[in-house]
Amino acid sequence: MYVESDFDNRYKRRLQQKLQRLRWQHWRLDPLLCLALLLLSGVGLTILFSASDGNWKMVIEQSMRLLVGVIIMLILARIPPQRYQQWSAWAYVFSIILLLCVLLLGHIGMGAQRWLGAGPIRFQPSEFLKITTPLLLASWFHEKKSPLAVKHISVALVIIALPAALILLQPDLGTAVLLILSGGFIICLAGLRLRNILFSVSILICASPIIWHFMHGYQRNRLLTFLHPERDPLGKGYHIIQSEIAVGSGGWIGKGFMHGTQSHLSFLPTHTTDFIFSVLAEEWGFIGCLILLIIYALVLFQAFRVAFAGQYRFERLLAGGLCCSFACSAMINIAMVIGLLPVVGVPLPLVSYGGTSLLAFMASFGMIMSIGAHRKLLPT
Amino acid sequence: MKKSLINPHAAKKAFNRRALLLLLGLVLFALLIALRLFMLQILEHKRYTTLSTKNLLTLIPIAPKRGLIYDRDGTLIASNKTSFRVSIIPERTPHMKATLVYLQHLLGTSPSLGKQVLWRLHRHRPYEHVPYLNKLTPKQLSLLSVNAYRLPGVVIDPDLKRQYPLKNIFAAPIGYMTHLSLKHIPAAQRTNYSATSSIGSAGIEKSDEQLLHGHVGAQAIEIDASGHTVRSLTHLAPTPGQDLILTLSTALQKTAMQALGKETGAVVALDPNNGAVLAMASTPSFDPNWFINGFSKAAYQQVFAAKQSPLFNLADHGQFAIGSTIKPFYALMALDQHVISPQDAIFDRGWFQIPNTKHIYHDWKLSGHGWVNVSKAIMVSCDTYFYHLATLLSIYSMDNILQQFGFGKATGVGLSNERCGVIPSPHWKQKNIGRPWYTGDKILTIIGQGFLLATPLQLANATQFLANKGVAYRPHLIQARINPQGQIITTSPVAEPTVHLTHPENWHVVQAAMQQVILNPEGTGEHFGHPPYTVAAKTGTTQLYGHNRDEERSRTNIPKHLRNNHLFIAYAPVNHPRIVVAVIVEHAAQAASVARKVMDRAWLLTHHFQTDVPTRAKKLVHPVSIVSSAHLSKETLALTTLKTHSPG
Repeated sequence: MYVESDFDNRYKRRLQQKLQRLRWQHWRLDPLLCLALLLLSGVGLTILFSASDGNWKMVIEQSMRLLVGVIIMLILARIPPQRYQQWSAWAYVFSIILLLCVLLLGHIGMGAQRWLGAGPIRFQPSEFLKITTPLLLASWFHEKKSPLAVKHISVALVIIALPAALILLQPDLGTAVLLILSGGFIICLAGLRLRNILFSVSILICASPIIWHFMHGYQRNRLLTFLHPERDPLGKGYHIIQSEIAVGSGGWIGKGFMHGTQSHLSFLPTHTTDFIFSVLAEEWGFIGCLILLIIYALVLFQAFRVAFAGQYRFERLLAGGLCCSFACSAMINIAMVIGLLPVVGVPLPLVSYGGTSLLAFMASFGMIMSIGAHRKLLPT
Repeated sequence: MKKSLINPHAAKKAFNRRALLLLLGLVLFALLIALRLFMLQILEHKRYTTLSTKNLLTLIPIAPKRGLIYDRDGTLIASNKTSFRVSIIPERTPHMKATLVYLQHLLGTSPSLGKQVLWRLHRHRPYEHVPYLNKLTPKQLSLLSVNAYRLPGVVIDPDLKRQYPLKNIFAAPIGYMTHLSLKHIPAAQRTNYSATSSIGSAGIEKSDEQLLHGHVGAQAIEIDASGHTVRSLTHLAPTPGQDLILTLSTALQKTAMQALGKETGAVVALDPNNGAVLAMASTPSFDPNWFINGFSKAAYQQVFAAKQSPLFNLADHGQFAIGSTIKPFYALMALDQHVISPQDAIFDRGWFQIPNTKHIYHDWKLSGHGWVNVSKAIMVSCDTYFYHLATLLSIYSMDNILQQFGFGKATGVGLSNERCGVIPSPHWKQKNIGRPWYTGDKILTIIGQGFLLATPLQLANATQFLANKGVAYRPHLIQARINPQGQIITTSPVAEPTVHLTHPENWHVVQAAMQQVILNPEGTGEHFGHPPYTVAAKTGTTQLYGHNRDEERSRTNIPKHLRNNHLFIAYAPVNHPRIVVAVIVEHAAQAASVARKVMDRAWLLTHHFQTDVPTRAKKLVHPVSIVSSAHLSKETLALTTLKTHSPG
């Protein structure tokens, strides 16, 4: 008679665990990350339902986009990271060409040329660059020794500056800022001397008058309004003031789902896109905001774990860069809505209504999962 | 993947260090966000809740009651008639479609109306009154009232509409009201007019719009996220418009309108003791009620297709050549400046020629008047005498005379767009006609032809100077207004600059001559007849058709619109004048008889000019409830009104 030994049990359990992981690994997915993303999307759709005054059409449309995003994520997760490194340059060039197309023959949308249309599908190529730029940067720094040499950094700066300039021409300050920030983070992650950081910060301060000179009127107004929202309470400062009223009147637990007066009576500007966080804050209160922040933290934590565990420099840099891009987008949006930063058009990732940004973030999570799942046994 | 040249372990360690640092930065920023959220949502929650609640206050504007207009005797000229309108409040109507069908059966309205209302509902907030049917008949009103319990959310709103009980009698001075479009209101006034549907477009209704309209009131309500009323808050009653008591007398006005009849013309009667306008008539006329209740086809034709628009008030807008009525003014000042003396006489052969020229100026009487001095010249309206006088005066001194009597400028009666007339001068002619000044222009000016133009109101105003021997008061239409507190605020007369003569007896020379115009069988005012009171008058005739004297046509052959205009100025009684009248009748000779009828009526009204023209305005003092400004603070009001201008 065979007696089940302690060893057998342990073996069985391990086998079961392996089988379990294999099932996820077959899809090269990260279960915890998937769960966090699902949670985030669910919360996003719920807020959108209220923000759009119970407009099912908008919610269904957004769900369809989410579905497309998930499919893209599944596909990208199965592609090994080596492929990304090989394709990085081509992807970058391709997206730059798309961006040029926008400038040349883009449709006019929201006072700026951001859209590129193909039949019923319209998309913003600038969102693609939020992926392809970190991709190229990561592959550029892959074999560069840290701390980086100045010439290597210069090349990286050109890689960032080219799309950033094109996006600023559209003009789309928010996306350009995000691009520059995520690029900067990758450079930092790749290794930068402290004195170089100080040097670039001082250059930025010196260049600020020049930047001011090249800013569009509406961008200048936004900055001025951020500094003094009471300057023009019914004009430029109106958005910030109404948004702060919405957030502030939420209190601990909020006014209740679908009962936010600021959003439903149209005091909030663009409450389905950039200002959707105010809707959440008004209807779900401080608790709701904290829960959303925790979900974001969960997503980031899981994604950063992949970055930490990355086997190659390219993988680490790419995962880290994409994580930073995601984190910046979320934080800049929230900070803007609650009056910590000037109003720039940055969407709340996976919550704001809008397709291209959602697809871009899902794609980046697909790549992160691919990095997490494709592991090799390395000689130690 | 290419083989890395870097020590993988060291690189990973360095990366992790940096990534941790970065993560730390992100966490710090997240904490900052959480802190800010805590500040906004917990610490300052109360303040922001207040602000958010203020956003929820919505003001429903309430239209003020428009001020009434009375004549000097207290007769209502313009009032507000209540009509009833049935409206639907969507948030109180549980079964909208059933309600609309029931209303349709009850009121006998067309099914398309229900569809229209259903379609309009989307544009209204749930608490707003959506109008269904205007101007309910008494039968519809009672049907609705009886069935009110079956129609939750259906309300009957009173609607005040302007009404003019005397129809066309006061059309000229009162003007009319037209539908208001907020586009044409200056931005500062838009809030005040947010509940008003019509606005004064001519006459007193326009010029005193501010007084008559009053100030908008508001009902503050609190709404929830879906726009439904949570509760009614304060009620800020509108400030009603001020009632106006005019100087016009209905009796005189009626007489003037009837006397003018179907002719085109204007009558202005003034009280020379204070400048009060007693009558201001203009024909053809219109009924201002048409603008409120809608035009019939005939009425529309009469108003908008006529050659001479009835909407045009001839009394203050019509600029006419005033003909011989100007002669007493020139004669008076020429006497006073010693250009002529009362005894100076010329022999009138019926024509006049400027020395060294060929052109001949005819007198109106072909045979001439014989020996003529200034008194006779006024009495028989001798043109030749004044042609001579014109050669003695410069055009500048002639213009100066006209200016002294108030010609060439608006009288300031208070009606909008009052015309100024024209005092012709060489400069004026060069600028407007583009030709140099000829002596002939001066000759025409002195008999009130040529380029000289004046309104009947200006003419009446100038006649005041003759009646009062140099004193005149600014013509005014509003005797008093009653403010919302019920106090009567009377208008005090404003004296015009006095005309001083070096020899005051010259007033009497001219006045005696003007009396002879009526009394003397040779006088031109024979049509006036012999009234039981003393009158000083002057006639005037202006030629519109320059016919050749040699082929004199019979007057009846000339088409009506080319026949002469007739004017008449007069005041009575001569010693203590009570009334000044200026009349113009276009293309017909009734001017003198129109003036006679008006003056006779005034004579009767004032008991043979013994008493003042009666004013019973005092009886109008009625207790007007003083409107309290409720409990709605101004601050709240300002905040909520501002909201309506918010962008986005």
